[in-house]
Amino acid sequence: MENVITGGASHNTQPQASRGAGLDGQFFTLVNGTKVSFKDPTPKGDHILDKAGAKPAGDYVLIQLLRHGSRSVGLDETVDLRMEGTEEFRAFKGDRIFRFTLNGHSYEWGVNAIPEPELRLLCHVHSDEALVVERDGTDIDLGPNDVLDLDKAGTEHLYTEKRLITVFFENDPREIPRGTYSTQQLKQLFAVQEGYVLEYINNEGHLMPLKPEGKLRVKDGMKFFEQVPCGGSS
Amino acid sequence: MRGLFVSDAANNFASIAAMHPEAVLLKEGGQPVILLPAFRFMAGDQPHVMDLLLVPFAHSGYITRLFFERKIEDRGANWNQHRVVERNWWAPSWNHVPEAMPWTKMLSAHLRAVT
Repeated sequence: MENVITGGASHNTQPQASRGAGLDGQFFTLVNGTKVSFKDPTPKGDHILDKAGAKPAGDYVLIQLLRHGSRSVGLDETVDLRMEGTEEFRAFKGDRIFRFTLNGHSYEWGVNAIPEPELRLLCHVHSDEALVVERDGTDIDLGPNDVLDLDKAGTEHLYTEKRLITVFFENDPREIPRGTYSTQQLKQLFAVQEGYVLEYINNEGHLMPLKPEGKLRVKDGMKFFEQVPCGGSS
Repeated sequence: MRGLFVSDAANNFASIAAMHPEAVLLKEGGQPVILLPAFRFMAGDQPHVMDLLLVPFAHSGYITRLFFERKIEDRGANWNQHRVVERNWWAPSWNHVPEAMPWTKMLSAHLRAVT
């Protein structure tokens, strides 16, 4: 199999040869935060690991950090350090690769768990955004003390959402913290009169009354309306 | 007064169009009626999709009316067929939804007939 020369700011963009040699004439990158230099701008994965002190290289997984994603680099895969997207790597002792996606971008990682703060740094997630793990029906917000478990079968899918979201009550925008609310909490928030019914347009686009004891995960752009208890069969 | 009426209709229509962007403002006998193509709503916990026609003025003996493209079985009372804006519609007996009510609320109050 031929070696693949790789850089890559992301999987979707054409990498640019934008990185030059340092003042010492050597090409460099960071592995686990430590600067590693090479005379040859196109080292192989095992060479990068070796230079970073990850020995024997075969016992390690090398992960390349991209702008929107991360990928594993094979031991015999050539990396072109002149290309953008080759600024930073991580080396993990082990032989398994764990996968997840964030906002549709693919990530590979070398350990089965990532603390939320590290995930936030890795994925360049701003402090005004929440990290959310997709789950059928009840997506889970990751808090600063949470750890993303990648050891389960399948690929975890995550997305980011603004911490404050804009919803509409009777078409008037309201900025509220994202999250799950009880019907009563929402009625208080929107000052819905006692006896009136709060309705919203659900994911399928149906105008739907909220059940009195119900709960709703409120999402950005959601539309709410109040139903006046009037009318009757004549 | 006529200018005020036009402004109210425009504001009301803007609100109902924000709720349902496909809404179309039509006229019946010189008065505004609102066609809501493929409107999605719940009736007895069942999702329904059909054209609705909101008539925000007195019609056929009712203060205001909401017409349905199809009759909903086991929901609403005394369904009758009507012809409005050159089209056949179904409507249950449901009265006392005030004319002065904003159209979004009027629509919602009429949908109580089938919830």
